[in-house]
Amino acid sequence: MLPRWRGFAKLHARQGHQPINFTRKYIIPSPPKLSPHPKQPQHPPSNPTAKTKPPTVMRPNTQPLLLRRLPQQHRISLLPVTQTRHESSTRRHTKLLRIPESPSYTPSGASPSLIFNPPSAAPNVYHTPLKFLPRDDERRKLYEVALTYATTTAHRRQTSPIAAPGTPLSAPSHLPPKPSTSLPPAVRAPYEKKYHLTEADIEEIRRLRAEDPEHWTRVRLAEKFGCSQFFVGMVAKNAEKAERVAAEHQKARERWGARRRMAREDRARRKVLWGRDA
Amino acid sequence: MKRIRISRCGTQLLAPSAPRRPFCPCTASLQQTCTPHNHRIQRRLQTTAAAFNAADTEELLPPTETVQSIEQQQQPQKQPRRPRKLSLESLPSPHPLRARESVKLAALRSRLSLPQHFPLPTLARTLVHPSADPDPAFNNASLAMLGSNILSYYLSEHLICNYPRLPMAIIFAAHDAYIGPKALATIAGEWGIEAAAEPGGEVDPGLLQFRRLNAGDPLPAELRRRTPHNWNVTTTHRILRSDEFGSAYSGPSSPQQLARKPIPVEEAAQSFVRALVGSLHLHLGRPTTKRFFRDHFLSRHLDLSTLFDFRTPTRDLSRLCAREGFEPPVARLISETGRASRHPVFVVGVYSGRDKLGEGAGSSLDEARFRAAAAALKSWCLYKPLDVTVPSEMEGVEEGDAAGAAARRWRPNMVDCGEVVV
Repeated sequence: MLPRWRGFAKLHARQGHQPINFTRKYIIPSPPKLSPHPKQPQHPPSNPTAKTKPPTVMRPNTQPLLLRRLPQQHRISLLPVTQTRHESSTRRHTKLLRIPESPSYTPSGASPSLIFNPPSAAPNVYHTPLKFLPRDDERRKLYEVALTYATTTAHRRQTSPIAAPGTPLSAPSHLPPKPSTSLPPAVRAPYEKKYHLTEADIEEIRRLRAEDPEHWTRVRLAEKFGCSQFFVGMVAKNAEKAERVAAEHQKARERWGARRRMAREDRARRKVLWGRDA
Repeated sequence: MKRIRISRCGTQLLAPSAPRRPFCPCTASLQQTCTPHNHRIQRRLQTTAAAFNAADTEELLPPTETVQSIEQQQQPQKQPRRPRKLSLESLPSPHPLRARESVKLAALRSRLSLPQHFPLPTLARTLVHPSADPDPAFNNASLAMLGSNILSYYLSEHLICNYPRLPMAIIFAAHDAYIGPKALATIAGEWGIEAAAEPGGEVDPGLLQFRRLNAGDPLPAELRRRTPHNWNVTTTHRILRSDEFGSAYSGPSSPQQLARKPIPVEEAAQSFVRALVGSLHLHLGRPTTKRFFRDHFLSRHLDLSTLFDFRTPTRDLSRLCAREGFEPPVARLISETGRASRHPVFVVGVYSGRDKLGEGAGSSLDEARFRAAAAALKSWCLYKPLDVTVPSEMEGVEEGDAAGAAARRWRPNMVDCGEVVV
C-alpha cells in the first residue's frame, strides 16, 4: 500500500503539481488580525493619569479553528462516486416496492381476526383437493368458502387491464406479478383427441409401414395421418426394424466412455426417484 | 525404543487385585464334569441367572408333586413314590412357577404399564419360543398365532377405514411397516427384551428363550424364501392366498413347525410380541388390548406418502380423471427460475378444469410435470374421511357390556370403488 502511495505522490511531483498531502487533513488557519475599529472614535483620556493603562482591545478567541479540507481533485479522484437521488428515481423505486399485501393480512371486518400466512412450501399431499373430495364430505363447504374469498380478493387486487403484462404500461420489474384470476399457461399446448382415423386409414398405415419401413417411419406416418407417433407404433408394429434400431442403439451405447456412461446411468436413477419421493 | 504402557505405570500404586472369582457358584462343579471346549455348555453358563442349590431345586418344583398327588388320587392303592429329583438343566424352559420370583418379568410388566393382575407365568410363557420348548402347553406358539391375527385385524381396519382409497400394494407395505417381522423385532428391542444365549430350565424366565442360529449357518427350511410356484403372482392371489403382508412366498404356517430348530433372534422376538398381544387379549380383554395396540403400534410414525412408487403417473392420472368424469388433466407452469442456467427450477401444477390437483417442482419441465402428477395421485389415494367408525369400536354393543359403545352410533364407512387399473 505504502509504495503505491509514494509513487503516486512522485507522479504528481514530476508533473509539476503540488503533491497532495494526504496525511494532513486539518489545517489551522492563521487567526485574522483584528485591529480596533479605525472609525471608532478614540476617546481621549479623560484622566491624564490613565495614560499608563493600555487601551482595551477586543480580541477574538485565540483557540485554533479546525476546518476540514478536501484533497484537491485535479485529475484523479480517489473518492467513491457519490449517489445522487433525484425525485424521479425515488418515486420509481418506492412504486416498485408497493406490493399488495397478502389477502390473509387484510381483515374483513373491524374485529381482530386470526392471521394465517404460512411460508410458501410444497403443498401437502394429505390435503385432498376439492375435486377429489366425495360429494358428502363436509370439507367441500369450507373449501368453497375459501375459494370464493380468494377469488374476490384476487378480483379486487387484479392489475388493471390497461397495465396488464404485454401492454406498454406494465412496468417490468423483478417483483412477483400481482394475482390474477387467469390460469397459468400450459406447459404443452393442450389438444383434443380427434379419433378421426377410420379402419381404411389404419390399413393404409399398416400397408405403408410394411412396404417401406425405412421411408415410412413413425414420424412421417404420424405427420401424414395427423395422429401421434405412439398411435402409429401401436397400430403398425415392425418387429424387425425395432430390433435393428435397438441393436444400433446398443452399439452406440457400447462406444460410450466412462464419464458419459456414468452420467446416463445417474440420470436414469434420478428419473426413478421422480415417482418415488416427494 | 521400548515403550512403557501408560496403564502399567501406576499399577504398583494400586491394591493387589483380588483373585479371580467364578461368576457363578456352580461353574466349578460344571467345569469339572463337562468338556471345556463344548461352546454350547459354555453358553448355558452365560444364561444362568442365579445360583440354585440342589436342595432348593426340589422345593422349587412343586408341580412334580402335584402331578404325583393327582396320580395318587387316581391310584390310591399304590405306594406313594418318592418325588423324583429333577434338575433344572433337564427342563427345556424355565418352570412357570419361577416366574413369580423373576425380577426381569416384574420389571417388564411395569415397563409396559400392564395391570398387576396380569399373571407373570403367562408373561414368562410368551417369552418361550417353540424352538426352545416344543411342548405346546409351555411355548408361545398358540398365543403368537392369536396375537398375529389380532394385530393384523386392528391394523387393517385402521388403514382401510381411515384411508379408503389406498391401493392394495400400499396396504401390504404399511402392514409390513407397522407389524412386519422387522418392526416387531425392533419393538421388542425397545421394550428391553434380552435374549438368553441358550434356553434351559435354569435360565432367568425374563429372558427370551429360543435356540439360537449360529453365525454362518443356513436358515431352517421353514424360514427360507422359496420361489413362488407361479411367478406371475397377482394382487388377487396375494389377497386370497398370502399372509397379511402379501408376501409372495409362504412362511411357516404355524410357529410350532420351528420346534427344536435353530432360528435367528428376530424370529423369536417377533413371536414374543405377537404372543404378548394374544395373552393380553385373553387375560385383559378387548379394550385393554386395543389401547395397548394404539399406544405401542399405531403411535409409531409412518408417512404413508413415502410408500408410493409411480412409474407412469401422468397416464394413471388421466385414466383416473376419465374414470371419475373430471376434465382431462393439464399441466400448467406456475413459476420458474433460471431457465437458461445450470440449475433451473420449474413449478408445475396439474389442473383439471380450474381446479388444481397437484403441484410439483423439478429441474426440468418433464420432471416437474411428472412429480405434479404423482402428487395428484397421492392426494387422491391418501384421502381421509373426517368421521370414521372402525368395526372394533362397535364390539360389545350387542352384549350390552360397553356403555360407551351404545352411545356411539354406527356410521357406515366410505368404500371406494377401487384403484385405477391401466
